[in-house]
Amino acid sequence: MRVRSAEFKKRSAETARDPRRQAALQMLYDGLHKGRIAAAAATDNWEELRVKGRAIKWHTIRNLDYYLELLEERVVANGGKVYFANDDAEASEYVMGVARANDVKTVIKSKSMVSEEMGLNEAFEEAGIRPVETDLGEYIIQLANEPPYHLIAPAIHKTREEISDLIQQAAGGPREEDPKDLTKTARRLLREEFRTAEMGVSGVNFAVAETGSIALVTNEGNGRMVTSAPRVHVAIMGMEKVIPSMQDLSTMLRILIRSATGQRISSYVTIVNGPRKAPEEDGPDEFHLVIVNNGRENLLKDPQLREALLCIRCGACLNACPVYRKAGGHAYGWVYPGPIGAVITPVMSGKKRAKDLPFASTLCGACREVCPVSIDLPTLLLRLRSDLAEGKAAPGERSSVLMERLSFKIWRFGMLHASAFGLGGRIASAGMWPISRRGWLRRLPPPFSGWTSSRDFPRIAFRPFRARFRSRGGG
Amino acid sequence: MADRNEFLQMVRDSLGVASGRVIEPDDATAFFEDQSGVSDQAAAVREHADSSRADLLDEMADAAEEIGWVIHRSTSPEDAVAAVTEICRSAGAKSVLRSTHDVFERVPVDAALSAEGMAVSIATREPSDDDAVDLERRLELRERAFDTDVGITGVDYAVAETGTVVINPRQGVSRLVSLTPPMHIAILEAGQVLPSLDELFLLAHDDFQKGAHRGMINLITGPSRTADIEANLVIGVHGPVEVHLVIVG
Amino acid sequence: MRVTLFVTCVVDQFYPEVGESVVNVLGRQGIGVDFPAAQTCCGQPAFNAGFTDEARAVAERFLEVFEGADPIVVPSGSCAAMVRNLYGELFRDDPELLQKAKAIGERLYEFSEYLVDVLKRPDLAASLDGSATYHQCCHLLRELGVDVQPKSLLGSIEGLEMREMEQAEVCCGFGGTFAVKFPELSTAMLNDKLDNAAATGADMLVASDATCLMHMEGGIRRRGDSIQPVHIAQLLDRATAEQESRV
Repeated sequence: MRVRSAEFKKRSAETARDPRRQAALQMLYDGLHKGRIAAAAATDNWEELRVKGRAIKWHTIRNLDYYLELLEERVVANGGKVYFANDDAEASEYVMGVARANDVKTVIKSKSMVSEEMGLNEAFEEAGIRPVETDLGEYIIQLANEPPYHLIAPAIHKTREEISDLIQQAAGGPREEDPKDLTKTARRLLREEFRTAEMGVSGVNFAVAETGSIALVTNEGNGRMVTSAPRVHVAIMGMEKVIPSMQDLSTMLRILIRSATGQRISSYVTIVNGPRKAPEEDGPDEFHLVIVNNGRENLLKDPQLREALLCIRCGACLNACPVYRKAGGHAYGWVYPGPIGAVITPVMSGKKRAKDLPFASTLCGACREVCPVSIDLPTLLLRLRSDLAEGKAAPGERSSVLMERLSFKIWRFGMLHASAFGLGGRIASAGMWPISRRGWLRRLPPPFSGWTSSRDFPRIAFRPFRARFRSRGGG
Repeated sequence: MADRNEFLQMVRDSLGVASGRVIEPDDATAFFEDQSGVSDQAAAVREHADSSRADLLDEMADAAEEIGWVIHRSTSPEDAVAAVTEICRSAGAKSVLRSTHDVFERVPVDAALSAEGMAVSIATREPSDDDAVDLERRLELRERAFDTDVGITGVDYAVAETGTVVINPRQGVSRLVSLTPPMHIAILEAGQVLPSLDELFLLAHDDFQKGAHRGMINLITGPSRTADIEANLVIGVHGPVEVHLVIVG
Repeated sequence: MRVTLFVTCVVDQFYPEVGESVVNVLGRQGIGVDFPAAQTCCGQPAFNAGFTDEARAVAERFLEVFEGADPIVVPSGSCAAMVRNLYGELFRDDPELLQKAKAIGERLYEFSEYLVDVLKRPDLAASLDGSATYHQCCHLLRELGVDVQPKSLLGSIEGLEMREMEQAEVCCGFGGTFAVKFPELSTAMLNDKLDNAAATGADMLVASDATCLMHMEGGIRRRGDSIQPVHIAQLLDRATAEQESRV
């Protein structure tokens, strides 16, 4: 998928002004965010589970080579095939090969964010194969030809009027606006696809190395359809999705599902142990697991940024993030929005293309507070800012303008010399005096004009605290 | 095309580790627990599920009701048959597909449903050594599963923590019976309820060690649902719209 | 008993009256205040903007200026969090400075935290008529975990009605250079905050950080809202002064 993160400022500002999108984003706070808080509060050992989940993930990431190799061995032992794809193109090419070998005309897809990275649907279309997204939200945005807006609520930005139009176009028939009717119509349309598609593609919530299994978490039942009805099942995972043991699943599912939707468990948890084992009644004859790198090694090889690979894609940091809730999902410009997207998009896709993202945060800490594996997202954002501001990691990635660099050099001088600091304050205060009214300024020159576009700015005090403290004779 | 050795080497290089190393055990994951004890632990779990059957069944009933199962408690097999029949009759079902779970030997629903005029079919096919024939038979079963009004199954386990029933598909237990019909009825017996997901995955692990695992483990908790349109909860998307749990015992 | 005040650069230059209130409130509790005149800033503005070298130089100086001071009181959760938590990040490759920073961090308290956790005075026997709503500044709440301390101080003021606003724990949209780099996002967040504050109908909007206050006050003035922004130290100053004058 093309990276459009360079347009963050423009697109986020548009969303902030759009009342329809703002109403949708508010629902994430009232629904998913508050639901998560209630679910955590109702779980006695919640903090213990988070600590355990984090430890399981850290252990796996630190030994990722070992567990990937074990996973491969066990999937093969179960009768499946494993393909390691270094990038999105390799992964797509492999999946197309499987589809062609099976003479596939229609593919049903259960939600997979990695497949979004790969632009898999476009690849299918180019190969003359019809991809059908079956998660209702994904189906809606496929009809709209848009990328997902949110990790677990991909069409949350769409109003029911917009969805009505899209479903009516797809189904014909009368226009419906009740979500129940719209859902029923989508059920009817997709049922025929489930019945006839030759191949199913799914993501992976967790892959269990020891048993060569994958776990899928869904509420609609489409994940079960995709892995049960067609003759071929291809599961695609980022290489960080592996965990060691089947018994680790209880912890990981508990934290994932509560964090994602506030449920104790989702309607369906489907554990796939390779292809159908004869003489089972149904299930695919072929099972392929595609393990994708696609820039994850850039996270893995940095001991600090590696922490981002603990992410289990629950989406809680998006719901908690006040910036995401204003900017919306599309502004982030790639597959992963919100705080986790602001960390991994620049590193996975190239910092030059996503320079703004690490700065698009107030570092308020709401993301870290809700993260089920306690990823220190604010600190990772600070780390990326440090790489980017002066182009330390690579000059071509420098994000700051001359004025900003100059300002911080002057600031540094002032802060290192208390007398300069005091004098500077006096001079600035005097300079501000003619343009201020009752101690406040309505307009400042660029780059500070961003502030005064909507807010007054205080004039620096004539008598700073240090002078007042002196004259009151101490405290 | 990618080379798996190069891929794994890339991972090792990124981590700064050598190939063939011994990894440090870590208490966080069950991976390093004494594997020889799994089977004993599994036996203890089964023993507990049996000895605490009444309490676990009550816990399961409460959790399942909370999550959207319609609960029917019956004290005898005859009651259970009556409950299943009544559910199907009031739904106006014309066709019923059931698995071959053992429970149907104790709760024989076929005759009662047929007596109501419903077409009852069993979700299984005669396996054939001829792949083409076998595929044809499987596809025929798939068509039936998609066209049936009600799917009825037993369960292999239930989980009281979450109100979940667990079904391990196998011959006679199609993946689709509990999925494609708009209504699913699951029949749960005393002794099948595990306290939590921990015990469930321990037993699953035990199955793997014994080579007794199958192609899929299905955890089913209430009806199919979505909140993808303006965050409105809608029950019944691709899976069953209505789910009934008939508890015997 | 005496404390050393790190007043913060923003209070020093923009909100000196907040610093005076801190001194007054502490004074009424029998606490003397020392103010090292060499102090400037903790380095956070540069650190947050990615200018790590600049931040480190200023932070090193902070460590020198406050070496030996115990305890240190800061009327800002954000600056306290910078020293206590983020210096660990800033000096991660310098064990000596890291040790120094850790030691100073352990002796440094945010103002309300100091009153409640160290002095054990969650109730200053203060009184003030009116109503107020409290904005939970992000770094105080989520970096330092200081949540109930300011609430108990405010809740104990006789005659003051506390009205909780919706989304009290959500960021006001300041975020340092964020407010300048992403003015539309920052403003949209601010407007939510101010709308939620106004909806309570309270007379005052209380916050514990001068930077957040500056942001919110800038918006209140531009919007023409009637709510009065006030730092928790100022409110406690007024409330304890009334009590003093009544005695």
